[in-house]
Amino acid sequence: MQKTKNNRVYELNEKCKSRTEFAQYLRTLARHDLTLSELRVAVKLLREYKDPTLPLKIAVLGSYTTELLKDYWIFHGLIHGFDVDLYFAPYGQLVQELQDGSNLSAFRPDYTYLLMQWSDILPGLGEPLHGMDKKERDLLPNLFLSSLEGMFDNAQTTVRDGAVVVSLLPRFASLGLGCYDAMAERSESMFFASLKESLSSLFRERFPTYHYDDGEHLLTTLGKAGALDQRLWYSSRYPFSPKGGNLLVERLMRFPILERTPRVKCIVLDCDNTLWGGIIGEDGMAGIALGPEYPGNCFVAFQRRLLDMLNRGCLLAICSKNNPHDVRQVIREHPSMVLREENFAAILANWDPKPNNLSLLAEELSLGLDSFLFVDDSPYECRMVRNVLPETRVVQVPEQPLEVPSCLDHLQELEILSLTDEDRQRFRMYVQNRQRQELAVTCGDLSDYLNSLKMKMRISVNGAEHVSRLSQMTQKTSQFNLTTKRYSEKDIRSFIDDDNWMVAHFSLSDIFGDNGIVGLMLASNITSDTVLIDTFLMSCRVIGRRAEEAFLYRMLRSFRELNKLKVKASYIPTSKNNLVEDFWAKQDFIPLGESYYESDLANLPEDHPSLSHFEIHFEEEA
Amino acid sequence: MAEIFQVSENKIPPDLEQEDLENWDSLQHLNLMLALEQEFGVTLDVDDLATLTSVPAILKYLE
Repeated sequence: MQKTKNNRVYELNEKCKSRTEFAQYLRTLARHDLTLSELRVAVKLLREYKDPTLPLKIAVLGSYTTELLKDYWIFHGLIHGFDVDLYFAPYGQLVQELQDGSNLSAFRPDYTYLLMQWSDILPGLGEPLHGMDKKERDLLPNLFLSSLEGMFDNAQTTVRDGAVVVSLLPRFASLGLGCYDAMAERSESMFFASLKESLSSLFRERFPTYHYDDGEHLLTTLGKAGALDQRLWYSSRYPFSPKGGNLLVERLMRFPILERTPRVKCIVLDCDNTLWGGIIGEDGMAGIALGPEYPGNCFVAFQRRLLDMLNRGCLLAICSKNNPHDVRQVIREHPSMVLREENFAAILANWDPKPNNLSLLAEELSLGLDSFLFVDDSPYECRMVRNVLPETRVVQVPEQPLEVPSCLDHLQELEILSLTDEDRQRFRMYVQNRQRQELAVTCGDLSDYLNSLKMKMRISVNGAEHVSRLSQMTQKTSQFNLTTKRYSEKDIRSFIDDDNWMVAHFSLSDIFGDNGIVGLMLASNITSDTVLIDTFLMSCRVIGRRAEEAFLYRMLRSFRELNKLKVKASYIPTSKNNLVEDFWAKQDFIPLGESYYESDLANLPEDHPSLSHFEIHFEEEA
Repeated sequence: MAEIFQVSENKIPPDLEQEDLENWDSLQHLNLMLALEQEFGVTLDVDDLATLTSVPAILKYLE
């Protein structure tokens, strides 16, 4: 028996110096023709690297056969640095497992995946819809949603703190009315489209901590013929071809990837043969490929895709070995550029090594190197960044222009779990920051500068909106964060509802624009004399404006008005927050030892110098 | 086959039947069928899935 195919995995492994490098090549292979044998060899080899792994407990409950997906789960887990401990519920035991005292509840999974068909949630959905009378059909959506809600209520008690992901198998059966369905009054497609809309609302409104994966990507990427294996479906109730199974699991793994590994916050792009075809320094504005004709239209399509990333809350930056003038000229003047100067958080065009530029960018944008995705067509540049900066993710732009527009589509790291207004406006804030910096240069004195910004601070106490943004801030803010406690949306909601806790946040705007919500304080023991500040954090984009001082002072005054006597706070040092190690002391809190500090509200001054720079609006929910 | 069933090669004698090997359960049987397709570039029928349950049957099919 030949082993030639397995050899290619061994050879690939020889060339790689780190697990991340090996993993990146394996991901591409897995999407094409990696065999099961090769996948298992790959897993064995991935385990041999000394790079540390994160433990992850995953439970899979299916209403169809799911155990054949096991190898993919372990594989994709390791690719992203997870050591996956899997529990598969016995076939057909979905309802039984979602009970207290079941094996599932004893397993205490981090993620519970429910792999189901629409018709397993409500049998009526498996019947021919066009054959039903209207009354019967109209009842189905509510029955479906109630059935699902019932399942979720059980899940909440069974898996408690674990996340739940619902994966619905796309309906592979041919449409009852065939091609006429698109025009039919009793259209099956439209019925399900409308049901999906209700389903989406159910998740966003009633179960915001649960995730829904609709599996349509299987159909749009591979099609029925590519994703399904009819033989296995009819003989064993397992739906997927190897490619289908791989794609499904790859996509389902995005939840632990996004929630437990560093997020990609900025895509750093090369210019030549990345944003346009050709080399600007040699071909000139008229010679580069960027426009309505092939291959220029491939690069236009890629730029549109990057615009999508901006709308997801990711930033874009340029790092190019070119004359700055040449790069800016294309960006400003080329008629077919989709991305313009204001879309880039930074533009670095020079002849220095790219790893150095990435470090500069990290400083300039106040981001970690592990939040960058480096995108370049040169294998040399890609290899250099991989070697020098192993924490930075790297994608090499394909040589074939046709493959360029979709070259980032497979990256689960670029998916999102939620979308806030802050996310969609994020890139704009960087332009505004550049404008603020220019103003600062003209104002000599800090106080003058702060006054000329005409800043407005909006403080909101226990408001129930923006829970997503507040949770996001606790997850993502590492520098100006006194205690670095990470909270989910569920946690924030429970603090707001709890009389013993106070949730105060502030947003900041100035003459250049709105920074959105940038600061958060969580305080407990509100009902007692001594309030305890559990969390005090601020986005690094507004550091240096004394906003934290104004906010803190205003909140202390609020506590005094509530007849509180003392406020206690702490500083928990981490590798990233030594910026604030003196914060409490500087705000006249007395150190108590063991990183605790205290402020006696009887001694609170009537005014604070930082207040003069802000117009403050204070809103409290009853 | 040793790799698919995660056993040492000496557990796969040329006359092996499915019922004689514990790890050759219905799920691993499907993995074996898929692996055979990938390794040898063949396409099995749904009926083959049920009949290729011994090493001799598999060898005969591949010839």
